[in-house]
Amino acid sequence: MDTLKFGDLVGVDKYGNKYYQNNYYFYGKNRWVEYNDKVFFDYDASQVPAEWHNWLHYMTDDPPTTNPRVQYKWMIDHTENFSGTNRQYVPYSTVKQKITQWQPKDGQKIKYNVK
Amino acid sequence: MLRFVAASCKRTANNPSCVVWLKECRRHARTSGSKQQQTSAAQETKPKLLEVFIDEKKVLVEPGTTILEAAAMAGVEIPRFCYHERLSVAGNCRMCLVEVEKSIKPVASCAMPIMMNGMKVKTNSPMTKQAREGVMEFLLMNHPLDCPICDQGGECDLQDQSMAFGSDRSRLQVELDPKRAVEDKNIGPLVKTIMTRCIHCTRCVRFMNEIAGCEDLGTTGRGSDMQIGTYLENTALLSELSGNIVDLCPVGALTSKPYAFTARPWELRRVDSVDVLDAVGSNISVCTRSGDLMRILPRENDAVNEEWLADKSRHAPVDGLKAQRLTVPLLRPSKSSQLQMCDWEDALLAVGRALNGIQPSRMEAIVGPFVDAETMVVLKDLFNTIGSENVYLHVDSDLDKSCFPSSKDLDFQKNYLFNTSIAGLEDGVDLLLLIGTNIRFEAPLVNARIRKAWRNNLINDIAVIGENGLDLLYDYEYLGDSTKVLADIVAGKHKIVDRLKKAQKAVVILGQQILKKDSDSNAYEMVRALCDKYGAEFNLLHANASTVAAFDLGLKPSSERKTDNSDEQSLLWLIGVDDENLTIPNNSFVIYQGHTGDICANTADVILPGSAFTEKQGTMISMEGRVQQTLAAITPPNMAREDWKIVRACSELANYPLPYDTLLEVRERMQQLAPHLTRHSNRKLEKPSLRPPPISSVSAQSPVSLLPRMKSLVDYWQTDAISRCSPTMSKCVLSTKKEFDKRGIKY
Amino acid sequence: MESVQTNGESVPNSDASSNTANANQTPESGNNAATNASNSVVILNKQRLQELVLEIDPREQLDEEVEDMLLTIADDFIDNLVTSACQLAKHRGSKTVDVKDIQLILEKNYNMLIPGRHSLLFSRQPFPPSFAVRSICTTNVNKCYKVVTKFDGDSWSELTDRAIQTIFIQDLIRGFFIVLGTVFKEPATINYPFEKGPLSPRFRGEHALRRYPSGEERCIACKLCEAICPAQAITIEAEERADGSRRTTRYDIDMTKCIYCGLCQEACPVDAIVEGPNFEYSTETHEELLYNKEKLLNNGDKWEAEIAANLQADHLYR
Repeated sequence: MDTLKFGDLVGVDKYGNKYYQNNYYFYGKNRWVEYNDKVFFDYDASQVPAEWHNWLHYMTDDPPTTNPRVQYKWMIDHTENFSGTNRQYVPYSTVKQKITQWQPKDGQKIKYNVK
Repeated sequence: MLRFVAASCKRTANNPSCVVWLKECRRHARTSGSKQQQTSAAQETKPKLLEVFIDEKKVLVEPGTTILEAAAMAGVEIPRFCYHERLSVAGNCRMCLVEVEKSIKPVASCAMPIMMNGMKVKTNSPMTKQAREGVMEFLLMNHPLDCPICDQGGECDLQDQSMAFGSDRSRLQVELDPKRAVEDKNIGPLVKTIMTRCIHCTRCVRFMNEIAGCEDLGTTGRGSDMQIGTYLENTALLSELSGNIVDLCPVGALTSKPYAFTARPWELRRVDSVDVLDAVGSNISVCTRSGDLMRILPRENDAVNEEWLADKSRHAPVDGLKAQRLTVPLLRPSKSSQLQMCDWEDALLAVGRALNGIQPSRMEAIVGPFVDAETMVVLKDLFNTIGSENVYLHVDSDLDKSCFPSSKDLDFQKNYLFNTSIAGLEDGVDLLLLIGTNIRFEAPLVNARIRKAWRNNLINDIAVIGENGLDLLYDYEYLGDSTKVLADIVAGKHKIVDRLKKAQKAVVILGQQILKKDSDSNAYEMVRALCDKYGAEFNLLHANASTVAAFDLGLKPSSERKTDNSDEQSLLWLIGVDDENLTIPNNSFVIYQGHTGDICANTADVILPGSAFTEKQGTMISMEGRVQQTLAAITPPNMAREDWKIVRACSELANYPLPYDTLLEVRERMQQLAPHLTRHSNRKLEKPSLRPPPISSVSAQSPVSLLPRMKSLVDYWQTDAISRCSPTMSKCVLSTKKEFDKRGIKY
Repeated sequence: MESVQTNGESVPNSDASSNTANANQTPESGNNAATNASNSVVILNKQRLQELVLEIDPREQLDEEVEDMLLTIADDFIDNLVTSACQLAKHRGSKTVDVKDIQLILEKNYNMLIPGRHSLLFSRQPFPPSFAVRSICTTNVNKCYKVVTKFDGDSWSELTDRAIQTIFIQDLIRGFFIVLGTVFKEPATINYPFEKGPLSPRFRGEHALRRYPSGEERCIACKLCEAICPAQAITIEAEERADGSRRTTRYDIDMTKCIYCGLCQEACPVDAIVEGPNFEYSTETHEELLYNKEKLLNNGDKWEAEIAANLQADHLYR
C-alpha cells in the first residue's frame, strides 16, 4: 500500500493478502487490500481471489470471514492475470480433427504436415 | 412439411391435374383399410363433385375427400401431427379438430370424409380454437420440457404448433399429477429414441409397417400407458429405410443417432444435391455448418424418391466422407519406395511425364461408381487426344459380366436404362419380373415404389428369377435361379409365358450385381430377347451412380479390357475405382484419383486427391436417365480439387491442353458429345425414343444361376468406398448381424 | 483580464465615432458604417466601387457603363432592403428598424449572412455550410472569427499589474497554494489496485462456464447463447458424450468480438454461461482473448464462490 491508511484488519485470504476496512474514509475508499508482502512491487489488481472480490467491490457487506462463501471440491485456486508471462493462456482447439487422412495399408505412415 | 402440403394443394387447386391428385389422396386415405376396401374404392363409378365451404371459401371436391384435404385445397392450413399424406390416416392426435356446422362436437378433419353437399367447415371459430388449445394442453401435459437438449428443437412440429395454436397456460399441476415417463427403446444404431417425448401420432409405426415393410414397430398398452416400441426389447429395426421415421416424427421422440446433438437446424446451410450411393438419383439436401458436413436429408421429388431416402445414402456420406480421405497429392518416387506427400506440381509433373512417355495403346483409364459426367468427358477427351481409346467404366471383378450391356449395346439408350421409370412402376404394371436382383438393397427406393404399388393393388403379379427366399417386402412368385428359366420363357415353355403374353404392360428388371460363376451366362441377351418377344419393358437396375452417364458418353465396361502379360510400360488411371481383384498389368504406372483411399489407392504410384459429391458441382445421371446435378456444399479438404480440373491440369502438363477451363465450357463440350446430358430433368424425364433392333435368336448355353451379390441386410450397409469408411455403417452391420443371430436368420 | 465581447443589440445603436475608435475591427463595424451612412452619404460611389474591384483583382478595370449599372443595382438593393426591413419593422409594430429586420431580409431573400451575428434562420450553426454561402459577400472568412480575449490597454496601472505578476510568479504561487490546500484534503480518487470501486452484482465481466455442485459441467450444448449472441462471438460444437449426455466439445468465445451485452447469460436455460464479476483480464495479445472451453470452465471454477453469491443476490429479480 503506497499511502498511509489506518483501518481494521477484516481478514487475510489464503494468498496472504490482507483486507482492511475503515469507515472513516468515504464510500469507495473505506475498504482496501494490502497485497502479500512477498509479491513486493509485483502486486496486481487481479490477485484478489473470488471470495474477497465482491466484498472489496462493495457488492456485499459480508466478508468471507463472517459469511463463508460456497466451497466445492472442484473449485480451483485463484490465479492472477498471467498475460505477458510464460504462464499465459494460449488458445487451442478442443475438438478432434474432423477429417482424417488416409494411411496406406502396408503399415507405412505418411506424414501429413498440412493442416 | 405443413407448408409444403398447403403450397402443393394451392398449386393443384387451379389445375386440371387436381382430380388426379385427389385420387392420389383418396388412395392414401384408404391405405389404412384392408385391401378389399381399396379395390372397391378403385371400382367406384365416377362421382360428381361436392360443394364444401371452408371458412366461407367454396371448394369443389370429390366425395370421400377428407376435410383436411379440402381445406388444403382452399389454402387453409389445419394443424396436424398424425396425418401424413403418404401414410394411412390414423386420426389419433386430434390436433386437426375443426367445427363443422350442424355437428355438435368438433370433428377430426383428417379422418372425416366429405359425403354431403354444402358442408360448412369453420377452421377459425372459437370452438375450433378451443378444441385445439385443449388438445395441445393434453399433448403438453405429458411432454417433457427438455427442448434445450432435444435435437428436434428448432424444427419441431410440437414447438411450432404450440406457439401457433396452443394456449399460453396449462392447468397441469405437477405435484398432483406427475408427468409420464417412458423408458427409451433401443432400435438400432440409426434411430435414437427418447420415448418420453412421444405424442403417439404413430407416424413411425405406420411408415415402418406400410412403406418400409418392417413390422417390428408397434404400439402396446392403452390410454396413458400406451407406448410405441418394438414388441420385444432391444430389437434393432431390420430395415434399409428406417432413417425416414426420424423425419416423420413430429416431435423429438425419434432422432438421428449419428447426428445426435451435433447441430441445430438454424445453424445449417442446406444445399440441394443428388445422392450417388446408388443409381436411383434420390434428391437430397446436404446440410453443412461452417464447412462441415452435418447431415443429409431427402428432398421431395415425387418422380424419384417421393420424400424418402435410403439409410446408406442418408448416413454413410456424413461420416464416411470424413475418414480415410485423400487430401494431399502423394507420390511414389520409385517402384520400390513408399508413397510420400508432395505438391500438386510434383504429382502433375509425374503424371505428365507418364502420359508422354508411355505408348498410347498401353494406357487405360477406369472410372468408378461416384464419378460425375464432367470428369468422364474430360478424361475421355484427354485419352482420345493422346490417341488411346481405353476409357472404361469399372465393373466389379466379382460380378458376372454377361449381365452387363456390351459396348455394342450402348448405341441405344433403351438398352441400358431403367426404361419404365421409377414412377412408371405405379402406372398400370400387370406383371413384374425381377431377374437376378435383390432390388430391395440394390435400389431401396425403387423397391419401396414397387411395394407401394403392390399395396395399392397396382401391381399384383410379381415374379422373381434369382436368389430364393429373398425378403423383398411383397409377395412374389419364385421361378428359379438359373438362366434355364430364362431360356424356357424365351422358348415359350414356361408357365409364366401365358401371363407374359396376356399382360398389357409387363416390366422386366435385370439386376446388375449378379455374382460371377465359373462359366459366363448370356443373361443380358436373353432378357433382351425375352422382352422383345413378349413386348415387355426392359429395365436395367444399375447399382452405381456413374454407370448411365458413362454409357451415354461411350465408355466401355471394364469387363472388355484386354490385358496382356508383357512387361512393357503401361499406364492405368483409376478414378475412384476400388476393387480387390482389379487386374493391374505388370510394370504399370498407376494413377489413383479419388476422394477416399480405400483398396486401390495402395497400389498407386501417384495419388491425386479428388473431391466427393458433396464438394463439387457435377452432372449425375440416374438409372432412369434422369439428368441431375450435385452442388458443392463444402469445399474439398486441404489440397483436394475437383476431379475434372485435375484431369484438365494433367492434360496441360502432358502437352495436350484441352480447350476448356470452366465448368460451363466442359458442359458445352459435353453437349457436343451427348446433348441430353446438359438438359437437367429433375422433374420431367426425357425418355429415349430410338428403339434398338430386336434380338431374335439367342445362342443356347449351359444354365448358370443368377444370384445377386447382396443377399441380406448385412450386405447392404457397406458396399463402396464411402460406406466402408463410415463408422455408422460398421455399427449397422454389427447390429444387423446381432439381430439376425438373435432371430436365428442366416446371413 | 479575459473578456468576451458581447454582440448585443447595443452595437447598432452605438455611434460611429466610438466604433472607429475601437482598435478591434469587428465585422460589425462595416455594417454599422453602412447603416449610419444611409442617412446622409451615398454608400457606394464610383471611387468606392473601384476600390472594391481593386481589392478583388488589382488589374481589373470596370467600364463606365458597367460601373453605372452596378451602382444602380446597389441602389436598388439598398432600396429593396430598406423597404422590406421597414415593412418588417412595421409588421412587428415597432417604430424603429432593428438590425434583426435587416438580417432577416438578407438571410431570407439574399441568402447573405452577417458574419459574427447568430443567424436567425440557421440558428444552430453560426456559419452556414459552404454550399449555402454562395453569395455576393466578398468578406474574408477570417473576419468571421471573434476575438474573445481583449488586450487590456496600455494604461500605467495595467502595465504595472502585469509586471508584478510576472516578476513575483504570482500564477505559480497561486497554483502552489491550491496544491497545498488539496494535499490535506482526502483525495477524491480511489487508490486502485488497493482500493476498488463499487460494482453491481449484475456486473457483466469476464465469461465463465459453471458447474453443478457435483462438479458436472452445466452446459448442455443447447446453443441458445450461440443463436442469440448479437456479435456472433460464441462458437459451439457438440456431440454425445460417452455416457450419452449432451455436451459441448467446443465452446469458444471470442472476447474481442463480445460486446458484453449479457444476452448469452439471459438465454442460458441452465445458468451455465455467465458473465462473471472479473474485469481484470486484459492481455497483451489478441490470441489470449480467444477463450476456449477449458479456459471458460477454469474461470468458472475460479470464480464460482463469487458468481454463486451474485446470482443469489439477484435471484428475486430473475
